[in-house]
Amino acid sequence: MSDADQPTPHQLSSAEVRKVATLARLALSDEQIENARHQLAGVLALMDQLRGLDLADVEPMTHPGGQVNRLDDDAPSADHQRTVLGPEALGRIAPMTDGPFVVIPKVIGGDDGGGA
Amino acid sequence: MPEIAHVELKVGLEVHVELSTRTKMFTRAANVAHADHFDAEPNTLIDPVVLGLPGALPVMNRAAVERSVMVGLALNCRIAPMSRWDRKSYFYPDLPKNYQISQYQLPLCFDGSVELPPMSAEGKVNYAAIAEASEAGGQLARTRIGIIRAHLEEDAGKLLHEAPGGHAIEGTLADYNRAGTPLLEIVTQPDFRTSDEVVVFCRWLRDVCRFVGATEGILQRGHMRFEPNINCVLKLSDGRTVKTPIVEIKNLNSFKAVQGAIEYELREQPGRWIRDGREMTPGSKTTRGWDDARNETFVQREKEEADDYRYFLDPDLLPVVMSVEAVERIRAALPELPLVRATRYLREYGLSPKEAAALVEERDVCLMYDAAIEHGVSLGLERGRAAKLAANAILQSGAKRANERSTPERAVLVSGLGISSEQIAEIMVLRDRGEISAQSADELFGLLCEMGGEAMGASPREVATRRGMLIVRDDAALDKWCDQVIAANAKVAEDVRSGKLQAVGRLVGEAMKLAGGSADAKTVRETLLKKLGQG
Repeated sequence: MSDADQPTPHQLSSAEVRKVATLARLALSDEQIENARHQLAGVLALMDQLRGLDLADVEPMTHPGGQVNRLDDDAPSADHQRTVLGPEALGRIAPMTDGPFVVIPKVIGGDDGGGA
Repeated sequence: MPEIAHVELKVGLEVHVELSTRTKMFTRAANVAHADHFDAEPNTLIDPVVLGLPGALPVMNRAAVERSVMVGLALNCRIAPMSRWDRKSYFYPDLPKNYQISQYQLPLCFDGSVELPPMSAEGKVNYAAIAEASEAGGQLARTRIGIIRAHLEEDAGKLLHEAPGGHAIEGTLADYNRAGTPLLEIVTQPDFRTSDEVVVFCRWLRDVCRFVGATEGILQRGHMRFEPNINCVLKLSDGRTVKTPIVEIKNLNSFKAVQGAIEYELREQPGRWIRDGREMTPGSKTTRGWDDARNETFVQREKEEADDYRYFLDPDLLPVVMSVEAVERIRAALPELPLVRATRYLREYGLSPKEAAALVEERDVCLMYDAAIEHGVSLGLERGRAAKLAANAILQSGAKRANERSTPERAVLVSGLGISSEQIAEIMVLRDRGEISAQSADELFGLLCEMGGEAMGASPREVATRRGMLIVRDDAALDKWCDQVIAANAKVAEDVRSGKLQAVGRLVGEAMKLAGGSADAKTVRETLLKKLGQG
């Protein structure tokens, strides 16, 4: 890291915390925002501390444990068959249904599959 | 204000391909993009993993990974020795678990390139032209399109804004059958300069994905969705160059829409720049949809920035490690792609470029063609002869019947007519030995198609025998038919006797009628001429 030797303590603004909260669909009071602002600053300070370490010779770790490739065969197993659900089961956990469908509040813009 | 002296189009493409595996990406619930489940009732292909219920854990689908690598190899990509899974935070009711599993930092396939094939007059991939050029020892000048990455992710569910049948609804209806379908996202460099180039790439990509068995590729069902990123480089009269902001068009599912959307933006963007002066800067990209009826693009929601998705490593999934051996194993299993196949048909079998191109248009048809040749060879036909006879059978008798049965909604292929490659090979042998006439061979082909299920395993020879199609080698019968015809057509017979040889054609036709197609026209002609003193 080029700036590793110049750690700067991070202070988040209330607006930044509010934006992150909105993205996470969390409704926070002013008091909670202020609280989160300090807690997040603590997390970022720890990151700054880590940036100060010399990690040039360390392989990036993408996953703990060193395990890889848990792959399933492309076939419906008997085991899996027991977990298959249908519209009735879905209807029991959905707030509102219409036939086999789940009813959700009108989606703005009518966008289908926005993120995929 | 300077004027725009020249407009150059720049397009990069994102393509989402729904893989046709039997089960979903991270669970063994049935996959709606597999032909067995196309018309599954709403919300029947779901389980705790699809719905993101507490405690449900994802497990990767081996076939989805392998087929993605196949497509990656066909795009000349490098295959990552290790790739991993990220969560894309995403609150939208089409994905109930509130994130999409994707590959953000380490995609499975990356850094590839494709030589763009030429387009035919009908707007299809012109395999014939490339095959011909390579046969002549040369190469066509072809545009190179860089492939940035091809990564795996999962599809979202489907939202319906009006109820099936059209009755009014208060909210939006969600069907989660599609949620979790394996999705391969292919991203190109902005190397396209015309909408034709983009369309021919899309068509070629569809052919390749279908050939390797990655997808059914039915565009109407959304198996492939195209998202062009379009902008223009404007050269101004004062010598300056400006770039218009990038517009991404979402979710196009026809080649016509891809072409229309790009042409529309090419027309509009210079004018937009004149009106608002906005240029390409970080964050200036906008997202638009395509209105098929009005033939124009329209503004959609403002896209969230990548940072807003707060990607992070999915703790539930292990990394994907692809050893060199594993990649080579997949490479070895890669089927022959359309272009290589067309070139081989030209070179080894002496087919015409048009015949070769017609055969490779559909994977199932050329697999049937190859199988018919193999069966023909095993029945004693010389390979080149078998190749020619099989091409005739499929492109004439087969294509004719496939066309008859096709509707605008549903194309029927020769491979879907009900006749098997073994049966085609037997017809080829009957024809090659002169045991049936060309006309009977075509009729026999049709009969075996019409017999449908009951013809499964039916022997073409038996059917031909039952229907009296086999050519009679009985000289006595042939003599009798010829004598009858000569007696009944004394005037024509006299013409032939006096040297008007072309008049014999009429007598041959009459004799064939008497024989009910069971005589060989050439033998009939020879016999008649002999009897009339011209043999």
